[in-house]
Amino acid sequence: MADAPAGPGEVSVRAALTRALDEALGADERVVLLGEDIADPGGGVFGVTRGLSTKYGADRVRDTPISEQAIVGAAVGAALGGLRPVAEIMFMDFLGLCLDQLANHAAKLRYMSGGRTPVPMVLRTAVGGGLQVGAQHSQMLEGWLTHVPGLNVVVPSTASDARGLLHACVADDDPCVFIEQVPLLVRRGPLGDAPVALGVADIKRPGADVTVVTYGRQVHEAVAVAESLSPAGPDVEVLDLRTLSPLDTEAVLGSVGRTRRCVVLHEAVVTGGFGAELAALISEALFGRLLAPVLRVGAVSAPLPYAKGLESLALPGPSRLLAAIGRVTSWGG
Amino acid sequence: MGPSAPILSSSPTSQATYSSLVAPNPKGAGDPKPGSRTASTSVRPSAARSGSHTAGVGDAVDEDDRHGRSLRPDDKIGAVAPLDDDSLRSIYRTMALVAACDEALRAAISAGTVTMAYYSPRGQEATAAGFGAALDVDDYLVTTYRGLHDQIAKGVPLRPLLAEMLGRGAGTGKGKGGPMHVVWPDAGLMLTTGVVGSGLPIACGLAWAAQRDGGGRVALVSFGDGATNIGAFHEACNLAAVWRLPVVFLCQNNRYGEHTAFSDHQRTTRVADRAAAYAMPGLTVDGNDPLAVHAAVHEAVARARAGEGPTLVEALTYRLYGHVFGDRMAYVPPDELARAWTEEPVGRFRRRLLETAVLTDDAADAVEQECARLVADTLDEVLALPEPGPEELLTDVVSSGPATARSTGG
Repeated sequence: MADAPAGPGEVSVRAALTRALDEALGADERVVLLGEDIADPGGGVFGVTRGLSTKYGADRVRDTPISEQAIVGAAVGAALGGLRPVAEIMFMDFLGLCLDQLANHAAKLRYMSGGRTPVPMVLRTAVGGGLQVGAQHSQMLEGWLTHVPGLNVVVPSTASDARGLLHACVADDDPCVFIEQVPLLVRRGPLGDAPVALGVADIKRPGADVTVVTYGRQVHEAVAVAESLSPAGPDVEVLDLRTLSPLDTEAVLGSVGRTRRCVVLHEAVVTGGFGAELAALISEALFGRLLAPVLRVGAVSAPLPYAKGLESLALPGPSRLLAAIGRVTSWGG
Repeated sequence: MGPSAPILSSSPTSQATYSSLVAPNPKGAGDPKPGSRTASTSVRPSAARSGSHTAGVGDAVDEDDRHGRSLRPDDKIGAVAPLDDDSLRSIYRTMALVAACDEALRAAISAGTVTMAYYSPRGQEATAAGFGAALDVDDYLVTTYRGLHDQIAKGVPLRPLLAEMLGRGAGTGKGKGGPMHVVWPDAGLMLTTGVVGSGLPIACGLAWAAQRDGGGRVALVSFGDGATNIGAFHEACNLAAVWRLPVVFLCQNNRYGEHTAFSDHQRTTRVADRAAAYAMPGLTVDGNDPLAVHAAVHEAVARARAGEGPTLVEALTYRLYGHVFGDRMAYVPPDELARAWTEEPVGRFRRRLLETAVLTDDAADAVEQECARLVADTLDEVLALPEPGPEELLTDVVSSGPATARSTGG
């Protein structure tokens, strides 16, 4: 998959991630990488770690057997032992193989030890629908993770955010799951130097009439939909959460408090998804102020199908977002 | 004896030593002679280590050879560090302290003074005291919910340990972890997990950190026989072998995985045999003999420190009070349990120290009384301590900070 054509000074999300890892390895001897096929010449199944084992050594950028429990467990142990491990789980779907290490150990060891054993580790994982790889290589499962106290959950949407957030994760003293949506890897954008903190959302497009709260790849879909509306149509604000845990509650309520209408958009299945948490949060805080109920747009409740047409139907698309925006802006009218 | 026969079922007489029970061929594999301060005679090398030996050395053919492996029961596992009398007395005190602690906790739970899910380590004291004596204070330990003996043997102070078990704010985890989640990094205890098998991959990570650090530190992970059937065991053994990590995998084979007997949960007769699958040395030792455990772990630690990678040590022992407090042990044959009590390790080691004049009867009594008093006093003290306050509820979920504070909800 070739990176998209570049504008001046623009880099792909993939290049931004590689650069962040390179910078982290260069800056801190404690940073180590582990995962399946992450060493050169492959440098990871999507090439994110390419060049790093050559530059920093195969014992710091370390290939592992296909052993997800061992990968995440070793990352937990390495963090307990004073390192700053960045583990890679090739596809987010494979979290099912190592969720015990993540949810029962990484997330809980700080709390259960009264703060004696924090787990400063990063788990990078790739995911994303739309690539026709079927139901076991496509699932956005962030809702599994946000349900577990003690985990940070991060989903960048741009090259600059990807680099900044990955640095923030490596620097953070708690376990962070860093979700890299595959279709985004080739997307290019400018690369700023400003640090990006965990728990700080970003308004990617200001608007006055309705807020689309979203994250990751859907940020770009929402901006595109917003830009496609006529000047006479609703003025859509796109709020990019960037991190789901910690959640920038102030930004969410601030934006929706102004626009008084909200659509939550994510690629994950709607049922039981993180959008339900957002809708509840907004409704509880702004019940009397909302001009319409919070609507959710996401994938349908089915395993992601393989056939291209069906896959497109399953995933949220511009038409479903437009319809939801239409509903909240015409509510009661 | 068929490959799936229970290990303890071959007892020729009730007078048999534990070693003869666990090692069907007694020739050269019996209990160490009185006065022996090394335990090499009760250490049995498994396949990977003994690959160069020829099958059927002398009379030393038993069921292991029928699996196509060879072993030499009198094989020394290397230069065993001799233990001086002070070390032997220290090991005895550790065992007595564990037993006293266990006795006091079971009594307190029975009396209703204390409420907890309690997984008694009674019967496994020798294993913990043996490996504890083979580790340095800054070596890492990872253990499980049946971990009281391991924690004491690694040097976790009694007061914060008992305070955690009783859910007090002065506990190792401020009372927020509980008995299944004791940690004490100052003594190298980095994790106690309540999930069977999950500690092994984490020990690999600790060992990786130690390997990178280059200071010679090792990680020992303690687990039961039941854990050797879970995927994490196999993934961790493989990773440790491939990366030559300084790990000691210590299986406390107490004959039961929860309520399921060893012979009903795996077809192998020796957990240590599984090491061969990872080209790792595997040793089976008498886990009720602290010196046998010490010798094996000492050897494994030496290998680890020398960069030679992991070792699987299987300590054959017995869980005298079942899985969890209140377990009526209906699944345990009464004669098996009675036999196991005759090999109860604290009394057995005491007898040995008396026979070798390392301890006198009075001195041994004094050690036991001192331990009982220390436990009673500490328990009284801890019972009077407060529970953690409500301010602790949302503390330590994540590191403190303005951004993360927003995520705690409520």
